[in-house]
Amino acid sequence: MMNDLEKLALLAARARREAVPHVDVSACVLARLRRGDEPSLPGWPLLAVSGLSAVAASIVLFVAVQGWFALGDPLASLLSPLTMVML
Amino acid sequence: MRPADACDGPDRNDVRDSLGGDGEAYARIVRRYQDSIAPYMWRFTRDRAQWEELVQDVFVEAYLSLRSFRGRAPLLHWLRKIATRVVFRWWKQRARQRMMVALPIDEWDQAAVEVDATTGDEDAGALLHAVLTRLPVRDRLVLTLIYLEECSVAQAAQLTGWSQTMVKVQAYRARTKLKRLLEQARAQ
Repeated sequence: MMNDLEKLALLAARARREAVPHVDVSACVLARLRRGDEPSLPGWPLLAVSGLSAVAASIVLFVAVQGWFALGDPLASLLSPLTMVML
Repeated sequence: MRPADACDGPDRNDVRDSLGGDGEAYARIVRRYQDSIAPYMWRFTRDRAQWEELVQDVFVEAYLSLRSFRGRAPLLHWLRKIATRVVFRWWKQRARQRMMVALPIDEWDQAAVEVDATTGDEDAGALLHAVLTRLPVRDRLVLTLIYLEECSVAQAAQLTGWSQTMVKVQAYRARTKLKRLLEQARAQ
């Protein structure tokens, strides 16, 4: 009894001998190129989303950098009078 | 020095002329290679209209990428890489439709008995297509390349852009999934 993978190999061997219909696409290809008709690229929405994400990330980075430089010691207001007294 | 299997002769001239805007030169490339690309695409869809459109897509995309063709390998190798990319993308878009196709388990089991005697080449192709359609995109691609296109691991890696280890792993997973799928269909 043939197992599924042996059957796959055997059917593939038969399928390779199949006569494929003939087609001449040269005229259609040239017509599409003249029209500027590009194959639909699903990458475009992805590109748009990644572009928007990059813009959002830049804004967050900008805010974070501003925040970082604005950071101060939370105890500074408490300690500075004491420092002055010690002096 | 150019490698022996590099793009040479009429291909080289036609690529150069196509880049220069000569439409007829590109039409010659299409006519020269469509009979090699069309059977390759037939492995992935048996719908004639879709198939013709996919063959066109390959040559349209090839033209748009023609500047990136370095001529270090035969033009057909490069076109087959593009064809693999086109078909992979096309399948991914149709992943949902894939699951709606019924698995022809009776025909598959019957094929074990009849494959040598009565199963025609076209029937074998159609049956294989119907069964492979149920697999996820990457699994179907790797099995199609290895079994139908008789690609070695190295050739499959070249066409898909995966590493050879990845091809081996993917092929192993694909075979396991196929066996499981057929067993599940038998159990139902």
